[in-house]
Amino acid sequence: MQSSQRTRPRVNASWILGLLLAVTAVWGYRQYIRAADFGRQIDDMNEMSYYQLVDSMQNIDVNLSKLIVASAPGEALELLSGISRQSDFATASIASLPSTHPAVMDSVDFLNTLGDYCRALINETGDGQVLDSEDYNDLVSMRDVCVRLREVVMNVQTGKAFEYDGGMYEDIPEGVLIKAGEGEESIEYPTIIYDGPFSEALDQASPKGLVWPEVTQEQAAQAAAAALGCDVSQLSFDGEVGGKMPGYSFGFNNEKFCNISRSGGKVLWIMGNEDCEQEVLNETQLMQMALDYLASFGYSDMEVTWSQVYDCQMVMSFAGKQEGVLIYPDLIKIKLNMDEGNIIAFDATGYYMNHIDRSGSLGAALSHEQARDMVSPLLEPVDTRLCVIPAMGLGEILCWEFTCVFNNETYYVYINANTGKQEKIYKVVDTVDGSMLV
Amino acid sequence: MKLKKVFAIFAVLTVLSVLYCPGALAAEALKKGASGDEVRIVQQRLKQWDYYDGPVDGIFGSETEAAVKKFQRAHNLVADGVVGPSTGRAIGITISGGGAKSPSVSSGDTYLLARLVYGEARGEPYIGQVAVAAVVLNRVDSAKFPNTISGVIYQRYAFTAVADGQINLEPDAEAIRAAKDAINGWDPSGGALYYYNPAVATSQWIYSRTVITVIGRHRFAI
Repeated sequence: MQSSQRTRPRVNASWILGLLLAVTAVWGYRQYIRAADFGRQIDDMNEMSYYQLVDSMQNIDVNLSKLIVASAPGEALELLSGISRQSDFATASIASLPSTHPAVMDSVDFLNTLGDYCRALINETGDGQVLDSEDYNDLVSMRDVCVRLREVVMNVQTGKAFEYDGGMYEDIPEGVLIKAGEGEESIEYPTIIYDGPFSEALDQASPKGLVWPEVTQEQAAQAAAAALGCDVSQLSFDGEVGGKMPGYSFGFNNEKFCNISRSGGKVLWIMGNEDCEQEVLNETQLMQMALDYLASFGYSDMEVTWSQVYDCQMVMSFAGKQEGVLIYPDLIKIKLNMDEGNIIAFDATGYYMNHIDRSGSLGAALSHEQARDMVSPLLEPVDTRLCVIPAMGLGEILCWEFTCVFNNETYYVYINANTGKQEKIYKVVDTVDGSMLV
Repeated sequence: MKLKKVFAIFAVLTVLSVLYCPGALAAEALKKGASGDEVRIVQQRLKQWDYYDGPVDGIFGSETEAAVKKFQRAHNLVADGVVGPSTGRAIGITISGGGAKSPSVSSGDTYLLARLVYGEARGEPYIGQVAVAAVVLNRVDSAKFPNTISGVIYQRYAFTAVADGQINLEPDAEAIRAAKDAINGWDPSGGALYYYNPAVATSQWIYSRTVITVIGRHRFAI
């Protein structure tokens, strides 16, 4: 009896153990199947991106070679827009491949610039210009790069290249996955000179409005104290700032911060984070407070061009004026709390990037009546004024601005005040956060 | 006896681990084919607000789906006809987020940017959060990176918060405000394309970039 009593629990224990092992095995197998399934899905997505990239590279190559020999302007336009579209696809595909940014940034840079350059050419040919020999030289050198880039992409061993192998910038995986020029002679990327948002000239542009002698940290601290509304002794010095607008960084009470430019000791930006409970002041009152604030810093001739309200706070954009012409590139932004009208944030980086004396360049060759003829007959302008708008690259264009209403929607149409070319159309779109220009 | 205790503990752990299946906790979004009281509430609200004129029967059919889409379009939500956490919030019902596994439900780029800011930089000073959002926007403008906010954020290996899922946390009001301020043009990073935390960054490459400014724990570089 005693012995059977002793053995019974032992049988039970091994039963339980066996059952548990079986349950664990089933669970483990299910997890394994799931993991394998996810792994396959990731592989499939990688493969898809890879083949899309191969397709795009082939299309770019074909379009570029055709473009070099195309003689009809219409054909050239179509090829150019094909290339710009395909280069967008190609960069999107590269971004979704398991490759790190340092490995692919040169090829992404090249493809983005190629697309951008083609858009700039479309703009030029749209103006009636034909491609000149310099454009052709650029296109030929870009095609050479495309051919080599395509070879690199085609030679990537798919199996090896797309293994999922985690890692961040902070820990870039061993054996960089896709690398332009790997195992081949490294590709030399040409520098193309043109006017567009991705052009190198824009990368290297320096602030036109910061042309004063340098100030010391002590002088900058004076400006910071005035900007943050405190005493110099209450400021914290948070280090020097590099980049395009070198300067000094200061803080007050760990709540409000600002950067002061080394050139001239100008307030580049102020930023704080105060809550606001109740909208007490209206937009007209706030606008006047912002204008007074601007005047106290010496910006006397500014006009509000846009505003937005969120979180009981109002953000306003101001543009400078010269000889009565509105200068959109001279942009300053101000954010105020709507309860007491405190200035929460201020930004003059746009202003200092672009501000110059524009004397002598503000005379319009066309009258606004002449420019009116270039606006679509569907639109009925309700307001007209002369203004300067930023061009696609670094330049600026003097335009007649027509505010128009069509189908209860507001449009802004910009007609070049010297050539009559329609430069830009903006449309006001209402969003949850207020109106936006698109 | 000892062995039995070990078995017992093992048994409990095994049962628990079998019960804990992450899939079972996924978001209970309401979509076509769903039914129940939650659907009834959605129909009722949508009817009150003139988006829906079918029966309030608690069955999510094509008419309900069309009404949800209409509502989503009117509220700047992704018009997918699915009542996920954000649409639910807008309608005024709570949809269990379940780890917020449905990034498809968002109210556009601002919200996506705010999620990245929250995932990457919560706990940083406010201007540090604005600066992180500004880096994303600087990348969109740079030729070296993809040309959309989502393209930049979801670029492979670009952000830790995307890889470990922290981007799917619900952002707080501060992160949303930081994203809006950056979209409105504030850039405390001084035009940076990169940032890293020197306490944890191990890549040699990132240290080779020129530092513009330091905010909180992050170095901002170009």
